[in-house]
Amino acid sequence: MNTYRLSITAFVLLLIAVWAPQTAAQSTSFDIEFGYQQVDINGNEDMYRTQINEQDGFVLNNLTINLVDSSGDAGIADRVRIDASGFGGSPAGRFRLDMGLGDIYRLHIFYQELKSFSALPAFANPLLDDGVVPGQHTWDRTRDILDMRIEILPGRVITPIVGYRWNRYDGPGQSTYSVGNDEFRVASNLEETESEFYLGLDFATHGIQGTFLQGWRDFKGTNQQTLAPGEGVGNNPGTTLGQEAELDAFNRSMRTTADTPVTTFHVTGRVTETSRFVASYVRADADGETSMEETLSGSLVSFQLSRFFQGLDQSVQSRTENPYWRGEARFEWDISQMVGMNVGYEVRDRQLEGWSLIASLFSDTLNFGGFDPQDIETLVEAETGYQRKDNIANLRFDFRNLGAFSAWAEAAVNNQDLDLSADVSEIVLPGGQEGEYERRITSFDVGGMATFGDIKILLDVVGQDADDVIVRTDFNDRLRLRGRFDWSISRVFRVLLTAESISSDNDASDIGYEAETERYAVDLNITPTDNITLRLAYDSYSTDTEMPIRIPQTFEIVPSTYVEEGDLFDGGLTWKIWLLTIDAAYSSFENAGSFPFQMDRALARVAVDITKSISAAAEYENWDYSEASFPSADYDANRWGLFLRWRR
Amino acid sequence: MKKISYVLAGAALVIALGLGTAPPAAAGDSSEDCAVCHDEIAADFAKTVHAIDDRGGPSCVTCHGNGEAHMDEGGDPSLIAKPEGRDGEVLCLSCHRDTATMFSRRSVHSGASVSCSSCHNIHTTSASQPRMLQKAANELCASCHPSPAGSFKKPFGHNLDRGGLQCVSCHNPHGGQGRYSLKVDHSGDLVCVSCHAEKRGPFVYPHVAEVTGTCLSCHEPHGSPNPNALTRARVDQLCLECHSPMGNTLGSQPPSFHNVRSPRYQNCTTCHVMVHGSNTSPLLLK
Repeated sequence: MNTYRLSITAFVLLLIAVWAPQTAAQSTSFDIEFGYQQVDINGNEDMYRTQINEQDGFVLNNLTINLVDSSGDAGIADRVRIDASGFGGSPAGRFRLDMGLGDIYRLHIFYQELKSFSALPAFANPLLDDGVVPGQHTWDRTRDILDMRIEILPGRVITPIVGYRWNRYDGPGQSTYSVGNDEFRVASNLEETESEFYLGLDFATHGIQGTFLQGWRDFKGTNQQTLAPGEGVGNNPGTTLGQEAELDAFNRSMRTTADTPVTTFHVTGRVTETSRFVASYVRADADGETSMEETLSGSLVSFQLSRFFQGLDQSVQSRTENPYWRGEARFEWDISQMVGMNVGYEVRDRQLEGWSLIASLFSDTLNFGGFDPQDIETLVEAETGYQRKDNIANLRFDFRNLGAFSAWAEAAVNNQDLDLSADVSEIVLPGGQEGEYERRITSFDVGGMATFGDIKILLDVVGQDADDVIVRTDFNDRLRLRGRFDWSISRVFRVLLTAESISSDNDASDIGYEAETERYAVDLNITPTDNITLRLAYDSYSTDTEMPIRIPQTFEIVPSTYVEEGDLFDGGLTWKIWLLTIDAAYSSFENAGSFPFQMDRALARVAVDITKSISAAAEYENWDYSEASFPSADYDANRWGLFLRWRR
Repeated sequence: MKKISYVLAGAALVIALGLGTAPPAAAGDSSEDCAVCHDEIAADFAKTVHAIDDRGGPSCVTCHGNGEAHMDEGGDPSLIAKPEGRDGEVLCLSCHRDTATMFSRRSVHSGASVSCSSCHNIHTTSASQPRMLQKAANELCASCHPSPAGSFKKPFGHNLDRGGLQCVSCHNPHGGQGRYSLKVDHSGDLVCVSCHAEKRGPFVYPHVAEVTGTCLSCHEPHGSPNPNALTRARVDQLCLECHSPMGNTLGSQPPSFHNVRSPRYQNCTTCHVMVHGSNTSPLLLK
C-alpha cells in the first residue's frame, strides 16, 4: 500500500465530505490537523531512532471525518467515518475507514504503517569493549498492514463476509553469520509478505448466532544476504591453529513460502431465557517450504570436519507441516438476578512435522596438518516434530447486585502435554532437547468490587499451582494480588490508587526459581473548572528474580539475579484560557536495577483559535535518555512543530 | 459447470435468506416528541450512526421505552427507563450481536461491573473519537489501568503515540480468547504474529513460541527497560536461565567452548541469529 495513494484517497474523501450537498437529515463533521515538525538530536542518534524515531517533515496529527445521513435515501453510504493520524514524520501512521448503508452493507478498511529502526549500541555487541558501536544486528525497515472487511446485509439472518488482510515487512538490515570459527557481519535485504483472503458469514436466527469463516493465508519471504563491506576479517582477531579466519565473499539467497487454510466457526445459542451456550472451533493447517542457496569463499576452519577449507556451497531444502486446532464449549447461566455461572472446556492441539535436507560442499579442504587436499561433501537429513496439547476446564460464578457489592470466583485446570522429538543433528550435548513433558496447572481467581457512593474498591486474588515444570522458568506456585481504590467527587476530583503484587517460584532443589514483582500507582485528576485539568501520577515498580544457572565453560552453578527498581513521575496540565488551549506534560522514569537508566519526557503545546473553525498550534517535545552503564547511548532530542487545525 | 451452478444456487439462497427477514420497524415510535424537551441530546444523537433509524437503527424509545407517562407527568425522571449496568448491557447486545458473542461472562470487564456505557457514549459522537468512545481509546484504558499505561514510558516497547498502536490493537475490551483479554487472530494465534507475521512460522526448528511458551516468555510488550523489550538486561542471562538443565526440563546445555566470560559468548544471538525459529539450521544459526 502506497502512503501517497492513501493520502490522496483520504483527501478526496475529505473534499466529498465537506462539499457534498447536505440534506437536513445529514450531519457532517470533519477535523484535520497537520503541520511541519523539526527534530534536533544531541547524542546517540541510533538510540534515539531505536526508541523514538520522530523525523523532520510534514505530519498528519489527526484527520476525522464523520458523515451521518439519516434521511433514509442515501445512495452509497449513510455513514462514513474516517480516522487517520501520524503519517509523515511520525514513526507510525494509521488510517481507518468505516462506512455502510443501513442494512445493505458495512465496510471496514484499516491501514497502518510502522517504521521499525534498531541500531542498539550495546545490545548483542561482542565488540563493545573495543569501542565498536552500534551492535551487529541493525535494521531500518517498514511494516505495512492492510485489513479490509465487508459485510453484506448486516443484521440479517445471514450476513456474508469477505475480507482481506495483508502485511508486508521489508527493508535493509545487518545481521551476523557464524562460519569457519568466526562471525561476520552480513548485509540483508528482506521482503516478507503475509496475505490472507477470507470469506464466510454471520448468522442469527431463533436465539442462535455465530460466524463461519474460511480463510487462505499465504506467506512469502525472501532474504538476500551478502558480506557487509570491509567485514571479511570477522569479529575475532588472532588465529585458529595458526590460520586466520577470513571471508572473501559471501552470498545467500533464501526463499520461504507457507500456505495455511484457516477455518473459524463460532456459535452462541440461547438455551433458555437465562442461559446460553458458546462453542468455537478453529483449524489452521500450515504447510511451509524453504529453499536456501549459499556460497562463500575465504580462509576458514571447521572443527566438525577437522579441516581448513576455502569455500562452501550449501543448499537447504526444507518442509514443515503444522496442523493446529482449537475447540471450546461453554455454558453460561444466570441462575438468578444475583448469581451467574459459567462452565467451559477447551482443547488446543498443535503438531509439527519438519523435514530438512542440508547439502554442503566444502571445497579446497586440508586437514589440520596441512595435508590431504580434497573437496568434502556432507549431507544432513533431519526430521523433527512435536505435539502440544492443552486441555483447559473452568468454572466461574459471578455475584451481582448484592447491594454495594459484586464478586466473582473461578477455578480452572490446565493439563499441558508436550511430546518433542529432536533430530540427532540438533543435539550437541545430550539432554533437554526432546522427550515427553506433562504439566498440570490448577488456578483460582477470587475477587470483588464494592461501591460506596463515589468510592469504588476492587480486590482480586489469583493463585496458580503447577505439579511440574517444562522449562526452568516455569513456576510451581504463583500468586497475584491486585487492589484498586477509585474515589471521584463529581467531575472535579478523582484519585485512583492501584497496587499489584506477583510472586512466583519453583522450589525444586535443581531449579530454585523465585520472582517477585510489586507495583504501586497513584493517579490524581483535578478539574477545578471546565477550563483546567490537572493530572499527577506516581508509579513505583520493582521486580526481583533469582535462579541458579550453569556456566557452560566450567559447569559451575551460580545465581542469576535480575532486578528492576523503577519510579515514574508523571504530570500534565490542560488549561483553556480565552482563545488559547495550553497543554503541558512531563514524565520521568528512573530505573535503578540491572539496567539503570533515566528517561525524561516533556511536552508543551499551545493552540490558539484563529476563527471558530481554524486554530494554530505550536508544539515542543523533549526526550532526555541516559544510561548509567553505557553513557555513549545517551541522547537529548527536541522536536518543534507548527500545526494548523481546521474543523467543521 | 455443475460446481458453478451449486455456487450460484448457494449465493442465491444466502441472499434470499438475508433479504427475506428484515427486522421489524419500531411501531408507535414517539422519539420526535423527546426532542421537544431534550433538544441538545437530540441534536447530538443525530450525529451518531444510531440516528439512521429509517434503516433499522434505534431511536429514543428503543432504549428508554415509551415515554408517555414521563411526558404526561411533566418529565418526571422516575417514569422513564434509564438502562444502566447489566440492563444496559443486555439492551446494547440485543443489536450488537457480534459483540454479544464476545462479551460474555468470560470478559473481565463484565465481571468487574464495567458495562457498555462505561466506555461508550450512546448519545453523542465526539468529532475526534471513533466508535462513540468517551475518550481516546488509550486514555480510556489508562483511566482504570494506570500501571500498564505507565509501562509505556519505559524506553523499549511499542509506540503508542499518534499513528502507533492502541491498547485495543492487542486487547479486546469486550473479551478476548487469550489471557488478559488478548486478541487472537483467525487461526487462534496470539495477536503478536498478526503484525510480526514472519515470526509465526512454521519452522522446521522451532524455538519457545508455541512449543511450550509464547512471545511473552522473553518479551515485555508494554515496555521494558531492556533493549528489544526483553525480560532480562543481558542476552546470555535470558538464555541460560532455561539452557541450564539440572533436572528433567526442556532446554539444552551449551557446549563448554561457550566461555561466557568472553563478550563473544555473552552475546548468544551473534551466532544464534534465528532465535525465533529456523528452517535451515538446527542450531538456529541462519
